Amino acid sequence: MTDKHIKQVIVVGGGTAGWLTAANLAKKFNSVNADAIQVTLIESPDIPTIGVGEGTWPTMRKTLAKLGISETTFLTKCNASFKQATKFVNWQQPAKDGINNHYYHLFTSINDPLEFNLAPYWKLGMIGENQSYADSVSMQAAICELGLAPKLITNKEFEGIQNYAYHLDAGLFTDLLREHSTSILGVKHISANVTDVNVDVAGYIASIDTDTAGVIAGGFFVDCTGFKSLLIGKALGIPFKSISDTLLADHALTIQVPYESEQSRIASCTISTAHEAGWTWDIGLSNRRGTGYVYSSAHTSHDRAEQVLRDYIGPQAEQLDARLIKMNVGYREKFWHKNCFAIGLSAAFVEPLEASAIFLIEASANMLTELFPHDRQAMLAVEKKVNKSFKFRWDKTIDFIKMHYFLSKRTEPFWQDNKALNTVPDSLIESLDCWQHQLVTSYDFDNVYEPFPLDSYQYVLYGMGFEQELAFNKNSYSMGQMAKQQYDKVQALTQQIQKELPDNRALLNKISQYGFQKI
Amino acid sequence: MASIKAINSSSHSKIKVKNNPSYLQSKNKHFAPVVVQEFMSASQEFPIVFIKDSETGRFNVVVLLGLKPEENLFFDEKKWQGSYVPKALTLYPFLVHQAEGEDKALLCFDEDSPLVNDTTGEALFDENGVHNKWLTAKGEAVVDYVEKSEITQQFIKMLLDKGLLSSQTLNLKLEGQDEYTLGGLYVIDEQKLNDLSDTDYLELRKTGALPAIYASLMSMQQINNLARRQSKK
Repeated sequence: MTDKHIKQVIVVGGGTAGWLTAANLAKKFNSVNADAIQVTLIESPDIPTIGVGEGTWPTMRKTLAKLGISETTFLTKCNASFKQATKFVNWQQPAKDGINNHYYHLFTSINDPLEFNLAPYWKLGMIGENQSYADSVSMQAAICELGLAPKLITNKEFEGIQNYAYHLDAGLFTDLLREHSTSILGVKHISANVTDVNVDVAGYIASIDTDTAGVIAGGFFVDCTGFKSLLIGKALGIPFKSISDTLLADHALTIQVPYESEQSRIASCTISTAHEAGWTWDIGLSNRRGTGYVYSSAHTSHDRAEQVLRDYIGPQAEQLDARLIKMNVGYREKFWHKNCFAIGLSAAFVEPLEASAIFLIEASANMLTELFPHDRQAMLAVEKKVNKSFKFRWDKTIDFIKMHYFLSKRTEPFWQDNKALNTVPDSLIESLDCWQHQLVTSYDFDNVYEPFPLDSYQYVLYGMGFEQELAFNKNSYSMGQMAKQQYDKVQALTQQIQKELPDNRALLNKISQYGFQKI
Repeated sequence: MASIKAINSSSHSKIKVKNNPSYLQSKNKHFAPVVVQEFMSASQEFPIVFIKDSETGRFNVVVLLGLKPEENLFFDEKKWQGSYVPKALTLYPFLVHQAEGEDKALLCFDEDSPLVNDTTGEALFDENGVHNKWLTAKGEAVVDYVEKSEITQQFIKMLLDKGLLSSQTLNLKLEGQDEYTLGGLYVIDEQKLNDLSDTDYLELRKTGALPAIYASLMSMQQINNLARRQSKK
């Protein structure tokens, strides 16, 4: 058994994680060929998917292109829309006299700050003196404020004038992936409930018992069973490490909001608004908005939380039902154990503040396809690599999310408690200490699998009003002329691009009518 | 601004349309639409390229009349400076319009065209309010063109389905001028054509698309023709 090559991969669980992983594997293996490694997905007909992730990163464009899913098909079938940023409202401080404050975490900058960083020139007041950091280095915040799309109908599929990701309906996305995986990529689909997981004497998973499809054996198993974590947690006993002492929110209430009319604006960014005991997301799909309030039940009651969400939505919320989700934030001590790799909620969960869920599924699926072990012997090395890599990625994601809370000047108990030092990872404190007197540099990102790039840190740090004292060393920033040129270019392009880009809804309507060309 | 109106004898009984030897509507246009049936003739004079409609993103096929936006090297106030005139230019100011949900298309014209007046040119209607022969012929030409356009769209769709188009940016260096690029153009990719499977190639032959494909490939030589015209200006 142990010297045998793996010929069968069993993905347990549908949902975004399961289907995205199965599709990636089958594509890579070329499973349509009978002698290739085969991929089978077992999906329960009875368990609805959680569908928490409705925002992606720009990486999704590459993923879809790789899988051979056309952007037009994806956008129309998943009621998807374009996402160019997250707009953080009232995170720095509460609204004053009814006036909100905000900042943008954008996907596009005028240049790569690793090549030429405008941040010190902005921070020292040499450019964009009365402007936000975002508006000094990118035109994308203005584009989002105006509700414009990131591209034109004449741009080919997946090509953008601005960098962009998507908002999508997770249920419909799963349907599309299932259809594509089974009809094009050669994934075998078994609709049955898992009744037991059989582990062999060596501690490897041997097979899965199902209620209606018998025993399903395989050489490698991917656990996409969601919070239940049937394989890695229940069968293999890998413990769950809670991080609820770092990220304090433990519940989410969601309400789906229809648009008021067919002309209502569709925001081309996720809007994240801070409230007394958490924050709300507001995601504009092409047919509805998805909203939710992520909060800490130690700091507010469920009733009060529902009121906050309904107040945020406004009168429209009256007839709409709210759905409560309990969140167990944290991750497994190992993501890969023996012949099982957990991907999605079975592996880890953090609040969706930076839309990391689907991104980390993509990253997991990519790593698995690239490093797929040919037999059990080879698994040991891959297991080590994967666990190290994903521990790193999740820790960094948690740090980055925590940073938003830690830098806030809000004073409600929830926000105060978030700043208590015993809730903040040491790694974050260390970084922030450094950044008080020096720029974020490439030395802060020595791992190629860093989930958030340097630019993301700068958008959030400067957006949150982080105090950084660079004046002592201002003579070392001697490229003021070039900085000014780049800044002027941003301002000119900001004016110009507004005239070129279409309204976000108008473009989505056009796509459903004409579609994008492939070239 | 164009003002497109359906032609009818009561409103337009007095209307005349001037002769249009210069194809004045093409002034300042660096391209004109063509249909696949005229590729052979057009390829003797103009580069045939594919461009995307800015409103729909869909592909159309055009001939280049100039090598810069708003430059028509064939235009002259008195007379068209070429031996071939793209069919589309000869129809102006007439077109047919089919309203959504209607099964009948109407012959229309651009009322704001400088060709339209009360005194000179061909009258649309005779004194009894009946279509003038000239107008009937124009109407037939427009309808014929619409049919050819539909076949042209099928031709384009086939090229796209077979992946035969590639985006092409023209890097131009004309005498006494700075180098510049003309983008947004797509052309038939000879390499991709050669790489087609026998089945796909046979399909092109059976649908009669091959002459048009080769005409458009060869038409790219006419860029030199345009450059020569420009240097003489």
